[in-house]
Amino acid sequence: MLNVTPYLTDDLLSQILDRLPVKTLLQCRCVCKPWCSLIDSPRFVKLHLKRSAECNKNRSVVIRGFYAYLADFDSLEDNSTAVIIDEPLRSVLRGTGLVGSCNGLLCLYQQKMDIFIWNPAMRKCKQLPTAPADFVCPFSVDPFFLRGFGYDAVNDDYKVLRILHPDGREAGSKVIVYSLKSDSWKRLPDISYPYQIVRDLGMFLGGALHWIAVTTLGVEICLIILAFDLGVENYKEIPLPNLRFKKSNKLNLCTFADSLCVLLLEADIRIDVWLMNNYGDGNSWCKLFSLEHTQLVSPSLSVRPLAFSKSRRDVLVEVSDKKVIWYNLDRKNLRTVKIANMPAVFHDMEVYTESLVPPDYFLSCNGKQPEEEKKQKRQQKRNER
Amino acid sequence: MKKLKFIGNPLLQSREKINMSSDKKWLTLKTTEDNEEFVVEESVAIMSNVIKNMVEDGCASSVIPVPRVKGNAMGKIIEFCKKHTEESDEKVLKEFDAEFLNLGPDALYDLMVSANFLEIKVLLDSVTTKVADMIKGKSSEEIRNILKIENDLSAEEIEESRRENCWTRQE
Repeated sequence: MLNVTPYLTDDLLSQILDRLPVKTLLQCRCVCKPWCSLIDSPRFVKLHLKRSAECNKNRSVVIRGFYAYLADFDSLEDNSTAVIIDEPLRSVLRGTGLVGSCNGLLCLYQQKMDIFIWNPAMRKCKQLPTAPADFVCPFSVDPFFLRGFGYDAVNDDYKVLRILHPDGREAGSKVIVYSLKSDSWKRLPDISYPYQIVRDLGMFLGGALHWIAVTTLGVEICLIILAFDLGVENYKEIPLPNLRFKKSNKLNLCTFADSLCVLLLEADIRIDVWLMNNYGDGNSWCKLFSLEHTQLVSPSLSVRPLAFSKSRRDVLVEVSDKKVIWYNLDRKNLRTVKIANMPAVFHDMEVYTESLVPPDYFLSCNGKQPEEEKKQKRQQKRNER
Repeated sequence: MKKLKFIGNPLLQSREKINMSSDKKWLTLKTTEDNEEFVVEESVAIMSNVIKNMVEDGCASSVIPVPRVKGNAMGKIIEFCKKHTEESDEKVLKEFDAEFLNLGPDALYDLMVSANFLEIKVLLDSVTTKVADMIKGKSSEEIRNILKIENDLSAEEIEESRRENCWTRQE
């Protein structure tokens, strides 16, 4: 067999391979050694991720209930089927909660595994080391469990943040951050009074984690968005939309379509969805749509927009623990998304872009598995025989 | 013996007639590997960024030497560029590309390498998309067969990867 690949430079080969979905690329890794080292290289992983994001390709959905399921995003517009994730990851993914999702990696927490990072497209997992002893608070005990996960572009690193609610009125919140590159936790300066974060899940956007927070300077109590920059590790205030009602229990924050998104529960009869068109600019808040009481069984802050459809005229919205809908922006109506094999009740749904980013982010040399994992695998094989 | 290929009006016989007659500008491209010459309209030739830069820099007066690209590949490339300058209907172009790229892997590689060297983005995008579509959803053995790639993995490596990735072959 003539080997024609010497004609192909890495640059040309990348231009072919970065058009392919992750599943095919995992098969391509086994074609020959040059292809394997190219696909495993950090440069190619980033190229592939960039292209997927630019072309809105390779999107997938993970549904987490008691078990975890995957579904193809594009098929949600017609007929789709959720596929349950089998062993060996099925028990790992049982009853998990979300810390964050970014670049094809999901950061989850679970009773047995504590916090771990998972790449669903590659079916690979990495458990985080336990936090240092002086930062005492397992999530099972922490009533607030403030947390977030995101990508630090400045240091080319993935980070997990945990914040402990303050003890007293004057105390600050303790902050601890995990860096995937160094595989270790470190303590950061406390978030000083007067900020107090009022929602648990930090929303990742553009290199920072965001929470709704209360600030009590002087007499006034004010609601803002507190942004923590993962690169420079400092805080910034971002204004909320200028709304009449600003009670914290009527507001929720999420990210949608690469923008900050605020959900406002209006008089318990309607949910307004606001989008910040220019990041950081308080005047760029704009109402995207509203969901009325008549359209929903009961409006609650668990309503969450997940993604635009290809045409951008429909929005995929999670409305409860049982239902997901497509909301049409032109006709202002909704239709239920039919997914075969869905669990009856689920925690939440995440739309993510499939990627080749390994959960250990190239910590192990040459992309090969670290020694302990190899030994475990050999032991498993022996046990199987 | 020099071979002159005329891509354009078949009625014109000599180079002088071409230079005098039309308001269109014509260029001569010569593949230095096998000394084939091609006379093309400038508007077609400048689909190649490399040739475009040479024309703009004013060094394209006589014959433009084109290294590394063989005569038959050059002919095909000119055919592609001509169609893409003449036709604006997306649907027609799509059909043309599908027919045009109906080639074996050797010819596709040649085209890709030449399009990359000459910096013809439209052609390079079409060829890379075509090759990607040929291997999408296929297994590693099928990919090796389609693209004629030699297997340099050891038996143990093949077995290990087959076990790791068996789920990617389930549909």
